[in-house]
Amino acid sequence: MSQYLIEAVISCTLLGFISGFLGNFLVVRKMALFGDMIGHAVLPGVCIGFFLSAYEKNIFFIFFGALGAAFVANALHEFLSNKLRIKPDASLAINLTGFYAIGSTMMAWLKDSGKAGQTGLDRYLLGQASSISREDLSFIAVLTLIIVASIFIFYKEIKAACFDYQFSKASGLKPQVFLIFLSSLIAANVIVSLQAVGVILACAFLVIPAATTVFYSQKLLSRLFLGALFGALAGFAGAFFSLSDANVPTGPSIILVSAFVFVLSGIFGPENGWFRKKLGTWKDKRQHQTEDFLRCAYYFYEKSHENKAQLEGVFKRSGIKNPKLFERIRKRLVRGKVIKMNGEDSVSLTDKGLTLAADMVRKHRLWELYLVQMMNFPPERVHANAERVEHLITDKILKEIEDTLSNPDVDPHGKVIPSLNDLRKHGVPGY
Amino acid sequence: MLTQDAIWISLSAFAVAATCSLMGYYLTLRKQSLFGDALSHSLLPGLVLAFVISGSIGGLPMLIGAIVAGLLCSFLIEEIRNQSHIKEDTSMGIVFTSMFALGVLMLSQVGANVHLDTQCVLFGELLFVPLEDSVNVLGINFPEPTAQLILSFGIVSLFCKLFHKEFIILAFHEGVAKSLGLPTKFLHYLMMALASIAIVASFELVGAILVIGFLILPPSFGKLFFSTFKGIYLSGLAMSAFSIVLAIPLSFSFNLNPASLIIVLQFLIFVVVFTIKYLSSTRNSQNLSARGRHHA
Repeated sequence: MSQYLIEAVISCTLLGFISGFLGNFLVVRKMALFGDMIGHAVLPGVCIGFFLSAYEKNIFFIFFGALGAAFVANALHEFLSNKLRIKPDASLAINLTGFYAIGSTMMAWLKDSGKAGQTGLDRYLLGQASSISREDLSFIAVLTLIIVASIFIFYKEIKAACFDYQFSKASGLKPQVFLIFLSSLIAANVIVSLQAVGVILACAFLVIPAATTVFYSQKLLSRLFLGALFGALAGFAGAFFSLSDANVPTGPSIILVSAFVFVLSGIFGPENGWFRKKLGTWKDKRQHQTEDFLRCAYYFYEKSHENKAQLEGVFKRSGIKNPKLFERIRKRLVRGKVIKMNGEDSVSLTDKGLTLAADMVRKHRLWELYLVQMMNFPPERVHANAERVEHLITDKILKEIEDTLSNPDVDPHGKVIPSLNDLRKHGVPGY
Repeated sequence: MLTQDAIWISLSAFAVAATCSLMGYYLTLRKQSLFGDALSHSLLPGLVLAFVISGSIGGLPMLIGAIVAGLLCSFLIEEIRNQSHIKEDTSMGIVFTSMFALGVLMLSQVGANVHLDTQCVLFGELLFVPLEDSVNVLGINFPEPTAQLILSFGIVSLFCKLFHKEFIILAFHEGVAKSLGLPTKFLHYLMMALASIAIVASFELVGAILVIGFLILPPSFGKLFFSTFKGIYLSGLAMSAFSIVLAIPLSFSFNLNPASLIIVLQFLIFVVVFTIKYLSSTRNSQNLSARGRHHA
């Protein structure tokens, strides 16, 4: 690969790094579509910069032209939205398409004058990595440094302004100043990434890598770096694909790579990923099966005061329809040393099993009592609900219920609410 | 026959405005104008796929491709929002850009074609309406795209007529619509499907990005003066018609893209009228408060 292509790939990787980094602020501030508007709105600025630099593709002229257009669009959006029944969404759409139309008319005019065709103004629409020059690369590198440095210098202020504007204002942190500063950084980022991804996909370059991080962490700082990592990955791979096939514009190629990473993260991500969620429900289900089994075995223990239950009876009482499933649960519990078999068809609870069972029954009955006493449910209607809720009561909630009901002994059906003391009284070994 | 071409082009542009601003009215009312943006971008892969399968542009395959892509887009936006901590705007920003990128990539692999290429997606080709392929209806030779546009206007306006009340309630308050027993999910997807029809009919002529202008600008303009559906829709349409009549001859004489020029004019008209209206309204309120103080 030639020197020249390597520079293009490095530029796209750097751009991805910085976009993924800054994009997090766009995502947390719910401004993704604002980014889209800015992306489209810089087009006239690019054309003016192009014109002013006498049809040379000078990055300084184009950068400041585009920055000017972004400021005008932002000001117009502020003016239009929420006044005279024009809502912010309509104002964004109006500015987006209006500026884009002005830009494309300018482009057509520049093209018509015959000088713009070859120098690649077209490449600003969908991006073309091969048009990035060495001069551009150094500009991008400097801007990357500026953006990362200024975010870290003002990290506390920017974070406060993004998450709690009122608090930040009351603390004298001047959130309005920092939000404008942040918006300018975002606009600058959008502008430099135009050559890589183009005006139409500029917002996606910021938003998709940053949104991917929600599947990994909830902390802003780690999300900033993860976003930068995903962005850099997308920039690198996307530029690589696009440069190896001249027909493929760089923008779509980069965006598709980041969309692919997003989908993978959505499926396998450790934080709320699809797979993790499914695993969670599967674990819950197993837990509930175990707890139901133990509660049913405890019922027979309570009835006969003998730690021995017929499997047949537990099966009937458990409400499980499928005998094979029941058999599997039983085997699992034996393996887990929660129950032990007395011959073929009778089980008893081990010490561990008895504690778990008593705990479950205690939660069940306390909840029944709570529903009756605190919420005036009729006693005959609380059982079904308690059977579901018993699995969800944590120790902390249990303590609250105990305190509220002042440690009762008997449930609404007159049954003893088991406690560890009761177990000792009944002479259960090990207590 | 420059003049006859100009008339057909203006008529087509007007049909685009009539169809799109009808759907745009409901979208702005629901405060979901940017759904128009999302839909117009995300139709692309559906269109390219329909084009590859059927081998022709326009007609039923394109319509089906567009509706499927449009519904898929709104479904994905909903799903990402429901299944994760990602908010609606971000979810939209992810879905439509990815679908658009996919469409452009597919297009680059299919290769350039006379009617469907990147240029058409970006700017539309109102100037190159294939006027030769005409359809004979009632003894008049309509150019094919114009005829298609008029047909889709018929479909869209028929459904809007039937579901007008439901759409309005949905826009007003989704909770109220639900409590009245309206099938809100169905209505939402119906609206998206209709918007997809409106967009696909206009796509070839004005491109993916300018179509948002045709959707949102006229009803927003109408809202400055009216509050009823009829008033908003008709005044918006009058404003579009004015821009079209002005833009087409200008684009002919300066060799510019008419679709862009129409949007530029609509945008400028909107901003100027908005500013005048805003200034006069603040002056009125100042006068009122001044008079109020005087009386007090």
